[in-house]
Amino acid sequence: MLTIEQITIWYKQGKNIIGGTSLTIDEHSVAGLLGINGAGKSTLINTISDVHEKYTIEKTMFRGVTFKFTDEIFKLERYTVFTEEQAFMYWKFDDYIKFVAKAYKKKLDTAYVDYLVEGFHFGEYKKHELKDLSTGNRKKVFLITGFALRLPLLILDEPLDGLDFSSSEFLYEAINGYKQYGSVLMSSHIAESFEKTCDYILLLNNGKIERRQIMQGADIRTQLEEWLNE
Amino acid sequence: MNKTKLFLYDFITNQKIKKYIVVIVLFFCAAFYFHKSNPEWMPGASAMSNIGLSIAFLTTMYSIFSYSTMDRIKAYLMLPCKKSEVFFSFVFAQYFSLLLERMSFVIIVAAFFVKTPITIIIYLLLSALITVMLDTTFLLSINKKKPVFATLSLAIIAGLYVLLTYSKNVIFNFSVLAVMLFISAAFVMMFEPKHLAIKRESKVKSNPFRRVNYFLVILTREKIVLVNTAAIVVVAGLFALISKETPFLSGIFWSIIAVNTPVTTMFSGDKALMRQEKMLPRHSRFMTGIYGTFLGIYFTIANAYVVLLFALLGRLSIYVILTGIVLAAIETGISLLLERKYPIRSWQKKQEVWRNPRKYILPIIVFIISFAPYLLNIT
Repeated sequence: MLTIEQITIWYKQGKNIIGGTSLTIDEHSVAGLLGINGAGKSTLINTISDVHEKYTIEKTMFRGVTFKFTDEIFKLERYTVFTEEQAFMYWKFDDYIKFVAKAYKKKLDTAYVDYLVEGFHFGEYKKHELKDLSTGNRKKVFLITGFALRLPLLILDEPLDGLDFSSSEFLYEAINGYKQYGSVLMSSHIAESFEKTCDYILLLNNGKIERRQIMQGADIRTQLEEWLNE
Repeated sequence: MNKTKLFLYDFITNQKIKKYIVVIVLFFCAAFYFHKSNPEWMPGASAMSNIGLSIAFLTTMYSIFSYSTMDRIKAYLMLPCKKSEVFFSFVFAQYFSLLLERMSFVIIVAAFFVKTPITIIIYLLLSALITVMLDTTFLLSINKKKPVFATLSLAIIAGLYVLLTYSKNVIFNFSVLAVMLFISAAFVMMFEPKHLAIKRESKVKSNPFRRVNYFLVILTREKIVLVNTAAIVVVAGLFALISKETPFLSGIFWSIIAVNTPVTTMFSGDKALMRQEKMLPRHSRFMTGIYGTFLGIYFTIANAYVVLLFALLGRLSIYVILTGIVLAAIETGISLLLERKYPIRSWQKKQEVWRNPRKYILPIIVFIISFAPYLLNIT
């Protein structure tokens, strides 16, 4: 579905965070983005989301069409939930989700939104302004919005941060269920999250991205640790 | 860790000190040259004291309200430090920053152009310290919801203005300043350091502006934006009362209304909002439209207020009304253009956004536009 070829990303010229590497995300799949702290996971996600601007790229294809991260046509096909979100603090959940739906020209399936709200145990917080919500509940606003849009590509940057146990379990369910609408690119530090949701792993190590397959039956922690220590 | 430096590095860096030293030296040279060329130019001592006091009072208020909303302050406050150490460190950081970045220029002017420079400089240093502590008390009392202390702080600052304007008795002035210094320090110590961290406003079930425009919600809810807007309204009102009908003062009068930096930097001052906007589609039209609408509403009301003040002073004319209409449109357009095309990006503290020289562009343009008809003799 999404192919990015030879992407190089930096903050300071000459000091590349990611250096000339490629990646592919399949249709209707969940890709796990794995890397140690500082490997460049969030930077990569910010770049794809058109937030980070210091990069070069050889070729990008989305569903067979060449595009740029800045293109409106691509932006309409993806939504990103960032690790930490502090925007629109004076809005409530309904204000934000309606605003975003309008931006994406989407009519939301209210039954699906209700399902997400209930699954994340968010109902009682819908009437609170975002600034009054805890870290976890604030995260749910953006997660529910992301899932509810049902776009071809949903990008989640460390979505488990701040979520309680039952919400984490529901998140796994929602990610797996999302494959019927599109693909998910998820970065995480939680081994269990890769095991429970991902079809494959994009290992980000020393500025390069390699695709790995999780071996069923083997201990997930051991596998991930071995990859990270390579 | 040296506890006196608890907050200092958030305000002062070595790079900033070097930069200001260069600017201060240049300013000193310019003042020296100007003094040589215009030896008779001598502003009043009370005027200098009042200018210094105003700069100290307003800029420190800005500084502490913006700083106290930051999450990192909570990390400092949880450290095992005594109450006196925390407050000393907070006041010291504010005072040092005030002296370096703002008061140094006032002191240079006082040194060259006032008849009794030593006395005035000591007044400036003492009143600045008192102001920093009273601004801190104001912040603490607002956070603790003890409006009495906020009122008392403002009353003492008003007393400072009266003292420095009317009293010429140096010994009496120093005595009063010493008492005020003691009182302001006592005020600060009546609070707990935890109240230095500002809480976002309490829960509001319904805000009529929420449905209308997100930025209107910020204007009515963010304390610093609200305080700044109220201060501009008050200052404009006071200026209207004291200004004579001269083109120059009228130009300044219109310009005051245009200097609401928190309002004109709502995008630059909110990195999370900028990130969301970049991530979302239709960004160029969508958010720009919302912000443009907000700016249009704000500048229309602000300029209508100026027109109203002119009317109350019996100076209303068709020229004033036209100026108000034209300026509202121009201020909206220029503010939107600056914020969308030239956002302020590299900043750590919000006050750096508000102090960015970009803030002077709009008032200068407003001043030129409001002054131009007089120059062209078409009024």
